Parts: sequence; C-alpha cells; structure tokens
Amino acid sequence: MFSSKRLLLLMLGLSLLVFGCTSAATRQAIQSDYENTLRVFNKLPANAKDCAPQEYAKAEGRIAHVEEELSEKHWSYAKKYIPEADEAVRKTAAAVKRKCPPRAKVAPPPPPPPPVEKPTFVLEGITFDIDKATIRPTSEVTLKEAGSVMQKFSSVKVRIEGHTDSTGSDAYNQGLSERRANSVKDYLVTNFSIDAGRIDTVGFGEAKPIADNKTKEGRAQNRRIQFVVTAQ
Amino acid sequence: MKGWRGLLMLCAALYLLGGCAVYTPRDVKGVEDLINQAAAAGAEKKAPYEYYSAKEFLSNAKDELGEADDKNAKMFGEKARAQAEKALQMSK
Repeated sequence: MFSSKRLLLLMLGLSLLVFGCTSAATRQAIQSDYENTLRVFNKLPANAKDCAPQEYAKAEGRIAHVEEELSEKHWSYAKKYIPEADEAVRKTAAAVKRKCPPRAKVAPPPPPPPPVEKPTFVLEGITFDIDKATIRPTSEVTLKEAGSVMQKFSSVKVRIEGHTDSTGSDAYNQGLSERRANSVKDYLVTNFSIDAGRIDTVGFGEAKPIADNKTKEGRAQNRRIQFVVTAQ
Repeated sequence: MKGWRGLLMLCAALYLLGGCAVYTPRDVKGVEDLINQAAAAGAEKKAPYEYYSAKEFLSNAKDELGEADDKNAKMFGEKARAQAEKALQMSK
C-alpha cells in the first residue's frame, strides 16, 4: 500500500514535470513565431499602408489580436491566431511588391556640356581717331569684307563690341565705345543692306584692353571694334 | 425576501463594476452600421486603410466576444468604431 502510494506520487510528480516543460517549450515557440511575424511586418516599406491598404489593415489587425492574447497569456488563442497574422503579413508584402514595385535607380543626368564659346574676332584695321567714332577710310576695306560675308550668310548674327583706350573718364569712354559700335553697325546697314536686327551693339569703354594703355601703340590697339558671332 | 434584495443589489453592483467591460452584439451592430455608412460614402476608395482597418478590428472584437472576453471585445470594438468614424469623415 505504501509503495503504491509512493509510486502514484512519483508518477504525478513526473507527469507535472513533463507537462510543465512541454508547456514552457510551447510558450517559447509561440513567442518566437509571433516575433518572426512581427519582424516581417516591421520590415514592410514605409509606403505599404498606401500601396496595399486592405492587406496592411488586415495584417495590422491580426497582429494586434495576437499581441493582445499574448499579453494576457492566452497561449492557445495566440497559437491559433499567429498563422493568420503570418499569412496576412506575407500577403501584404506580396501586394506591396506587386502594386508598388521598387523603382529602378535612375542614373543621374549627365553633366551639361561645356558652353560653346562663340567665335570672337577683332576685325583688324577698324580703328578710330582719338575721341572719334567716325569710320575712317582706312577701315572701309575691312568693313566691306565683313559686309560681304554677312550678305552671303544671311543667318549669321553678330554683336559688335566697341572699346576705347584709357584716355578720358570712364563715363565718357563708355559713351564713346557705344558710339563706335553703332557707327560700324550703321555702316553695315547702310552700305550692305544688312538687316539691323542681325546686329547688336554694346560698348565696354576702357574696361577690356587688349594692349598696354601706357604706350601710343597699345592705346591705338585698344581703340577697336570686336565682332562676336551670336548665330551662325 | 430580504435575501433576494441583497442578491439583486449584489448583481447590480457587479454589473456596474463590470459595466465598463461589457460589449454586446448590439455594440457590434452599431459599428457594423457605421462601417456600412462609410462604405456607402465610398470609403473603400476614399479612405481604404481606415475602412479595412475598421472591418479588421471589428472582426477581432467578434472573435473576442466568441471567447467571452468582453474586455478585449470592447477594446477592439472601440478601435473599429474610431476607424469607421474616421473613414466616414474622410469620405464625406
């Protein structure tokens, strides 16, 4: 009798031990399953809610359900709802992938091409007397060549830039350079019937010398006209 | 007779104490109506996340009712109501 009681107690203890351990292992497995599902859910892209709102809402709801059961230690219910949550999360991931595929990386736009330098040239021989803007007879040879070219190539547009030497005030030289540029334009328009719209003029005064203003020769070179081709 | 009165008072007190966590099929019906109103207002297109979220939380609430867990049923039911109201508001 005594030994059978002891046997009964032993069996009871053993079964408690066995069931207790199994229960702890199950709880751990449930918790682990839930964490795996949650990990996948948290890795969904930021736009998942907008991309797949129906699937996202379902996954969120299922996860909330499992979370609630776990917080109350309703292990059997948690175990029941985890597969549903897992399936909902995976469906959401698939829907997001299908509806909003990640955009291929767009190559950065190529750098803009370097600006094409517009051909600039000094028409040799167009010089002016000191403090004058009138075309000298010696300049006419060069201007006739320029006029002929502009007649031949009617699409060519130019900008005529007038320059002075450093003699005189800046303001005066500015006006003088503009008058020189306009004087050349008038010559081309009058003598070669060049459309005035094809010629712009600008004066730079003494601001852009090409030679030394301390010498007579240098100042003569600085009193010049420069052509810039703006359209070919 | 005195015993009956005491029992009734105890029942009433228990009902009041647990009242906060009581969630009934009538509550479920109230949220369902709200969801239907939102659907009629076009929530499925205009506020899809809120609309489906309301449906999901209501489904959770029903599950909890089935498990006789009034507390969680109420918690999910209230979430469902809030989302349904939001969906309706966004669809107007």
